[in-house]
Amino acid sequence: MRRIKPKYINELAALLLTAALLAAGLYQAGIALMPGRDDFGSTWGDFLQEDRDSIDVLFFGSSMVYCDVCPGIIYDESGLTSYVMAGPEQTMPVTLAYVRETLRTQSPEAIVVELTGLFFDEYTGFSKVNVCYMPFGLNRIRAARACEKGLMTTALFPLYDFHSEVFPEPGAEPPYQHPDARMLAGYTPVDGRETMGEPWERTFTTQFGDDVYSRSRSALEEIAALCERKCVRLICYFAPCYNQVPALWRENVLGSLDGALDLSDLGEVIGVDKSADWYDVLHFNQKGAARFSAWWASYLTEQGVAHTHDCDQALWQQRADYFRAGR
Amino acid sequence: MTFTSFSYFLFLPLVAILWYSLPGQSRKWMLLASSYLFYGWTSPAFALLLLATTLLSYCAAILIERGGERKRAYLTLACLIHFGALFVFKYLNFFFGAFTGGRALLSVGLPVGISFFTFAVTGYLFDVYRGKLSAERALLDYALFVAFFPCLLAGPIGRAREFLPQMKSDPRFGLTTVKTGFLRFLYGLFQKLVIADTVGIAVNLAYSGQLPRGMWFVIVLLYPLEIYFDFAGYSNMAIGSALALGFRVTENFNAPYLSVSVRSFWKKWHISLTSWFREYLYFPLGGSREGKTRTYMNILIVFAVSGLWHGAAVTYLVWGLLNGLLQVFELLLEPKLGPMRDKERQSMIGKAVAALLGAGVTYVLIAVTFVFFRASDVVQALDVLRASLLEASLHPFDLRMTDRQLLVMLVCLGVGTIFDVLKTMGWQPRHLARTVTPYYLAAAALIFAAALFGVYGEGFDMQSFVYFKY
Repeated sequence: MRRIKPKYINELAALLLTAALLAAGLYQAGIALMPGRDDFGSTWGDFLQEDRDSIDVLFFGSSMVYCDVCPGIIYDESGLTSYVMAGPEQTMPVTLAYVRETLRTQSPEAIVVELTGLFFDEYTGFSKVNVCYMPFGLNRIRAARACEKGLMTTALFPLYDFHSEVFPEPGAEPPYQHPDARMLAGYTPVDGRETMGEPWERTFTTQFGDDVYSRSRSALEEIAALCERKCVRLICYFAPCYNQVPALWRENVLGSLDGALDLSDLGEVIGVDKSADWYDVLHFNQKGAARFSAWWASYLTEQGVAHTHDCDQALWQQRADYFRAGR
Repeated sequence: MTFTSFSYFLFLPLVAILWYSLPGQSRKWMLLASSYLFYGWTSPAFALLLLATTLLSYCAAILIERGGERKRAYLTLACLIHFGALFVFKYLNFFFGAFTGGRALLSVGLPVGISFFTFAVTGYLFDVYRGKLSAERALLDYALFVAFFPCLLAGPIGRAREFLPQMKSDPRFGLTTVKTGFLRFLYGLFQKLVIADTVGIAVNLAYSGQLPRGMWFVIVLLYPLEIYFDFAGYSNMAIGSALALGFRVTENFNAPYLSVSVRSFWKKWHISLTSWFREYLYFPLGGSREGKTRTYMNILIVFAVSGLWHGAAVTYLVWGLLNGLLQVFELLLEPKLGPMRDKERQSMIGKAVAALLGAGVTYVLIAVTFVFFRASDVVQALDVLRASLLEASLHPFDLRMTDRQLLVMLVCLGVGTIFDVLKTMGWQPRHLARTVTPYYLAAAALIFAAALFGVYGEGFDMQSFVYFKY
């Protein structure tokens, strides 16, 4: 066998070292240049600061979750710790990646998945946000693969889409940081009411292809299988909203999912004020979210979900106090 | 796939590894397949055109060599076919539109690189006709010459008499050569993504009417830098890619903006094209052997054709003729300027002043001609020149760049200029390639700069290579 010349070994070593240092440097540069994200979903930076195995319930879905579910209120009402790991218009395959990734650092009693994402198409315009804030790893790549074709480049190399931040516009606002990010636990409080396009439509008018549903349904079944393996209870639901998924679609989905909840009209049950508690056709404002979160606290307790995890009690009490003050 | 795409960053090292690993003929087949894959990546149909060009010129060369009294006829026929194809794809709609008020006859896209590979094969045919080169019998080697992917899309225009002997010498792995190739590639990437495309932001904004008119004189002086670093960047990536595979191709630029005359500039700008025109058009027309008047005519003819080679538009013709005229004026003024220059150069200070003055004047003259190269039509070009002369104003100074972007652009322009100066002083990238730590530091710095400051991805408009449309 021919011996490799020492100079080639030196070159190879230098090449590998340079590649490693460059990859690390570019990765750090990408992280540094990405705008901060503390609300409106995909709040991975804040999530990863939570103590390991301290969350009882994880919520997943789209803006219909991160605007509607307030972990601070759930804790205040039931003592259950929870976290919202949702993303804007998040598709079910990306939710699957989120579930896998969160289960690396948490071991919840229950996972709650909102079902409207079954009907979100592959490309919803928010893929970059949903994927590129995930920690680097296999789940991030899986999420990118489930999105539009060009996203893998940004998923692997964030500088591709974020290096323009090197040249901020004169007078541009400093990188965004929510002043009370630690209180949110993935929730995004929105105030008031958007009066767009009133009178509001009651049902979706957008048509979705069968391939979208079958792809989303496969992802949901993988979530169910994963929960079963990890002994985590899975709760699926249709969120309360004004502009609803057509009743027939909901019936078809609910008929094929054991124990799934249709909360589409829950607003009326829990006393949501139509003129004051909706932000828009799909989302509660803070008032509506407070009612809904209290309902979750009650429902989860009735279902036997218990607070079994050690957590930072002081932090959670702060969160509860923070949102109680605004109710 | 282009040189600045992620797929190419994987493609080139993979092809290089296979090239140095595979034995004998199999590696040539691999290289040919890779070249066709590269070319057909975006437009598979045009790969057929490349194949047809290869087969036609291969057969034509053999016929010319064997042709005896009919060799001239074979050469003429072959050139008619190759240049005819170029005319159909590139110029037919232009001339048809001139007579029909702008209507197009054909709605077929321009095959990328057609101007380049057409000139490469016709140059080969001329060499065979003149007996400078034997007709290549090995179809595989010849096909590789035509389709060699580093030079296929935008040059440097290959010469068969330089490439084919290298192919036959069976290039082996040389560490310094391969390292030099990758370093040149990275430097070309830096020139294109960081320097050229950053300057291009302001230039494109100006030509779409989004900058104050007072800025035109700045844009006129900036555009030559954009086009130089864009094309030189591409050339460095092409030359670097070829070197990574063990092949040396002709240099395309030699610090052209350090030239002290327009004639000197044209010996250092797009060298592969200008040398092609010199050898296959200027000399056959008589060159400078037929008296002064004929020399001036030949210069004007060559530069008019060169202008039209760049595109089917009146602006390119004007650009070419202007450059021809400037050279003619230089020749006319040479009897007076020559002794004056010699006198100035007698002292060190005199030399420096003469060089600076010469380079400055040359740069401005070239910049003026480039206005016609860039403008959409002659009217816009004249308006730009008028605004540059009569409406120049630094208030407001608005290139739509942030201060930081402007600073990065100026620093990188400085870096690019320093490298050009070093090159004229004899420094070569292979000197760095013989080292280890300095080499990898330089490579890492270039990658980091391109990644951080380059114009690519969202937030920027990805600028395609300027010379791709030729």
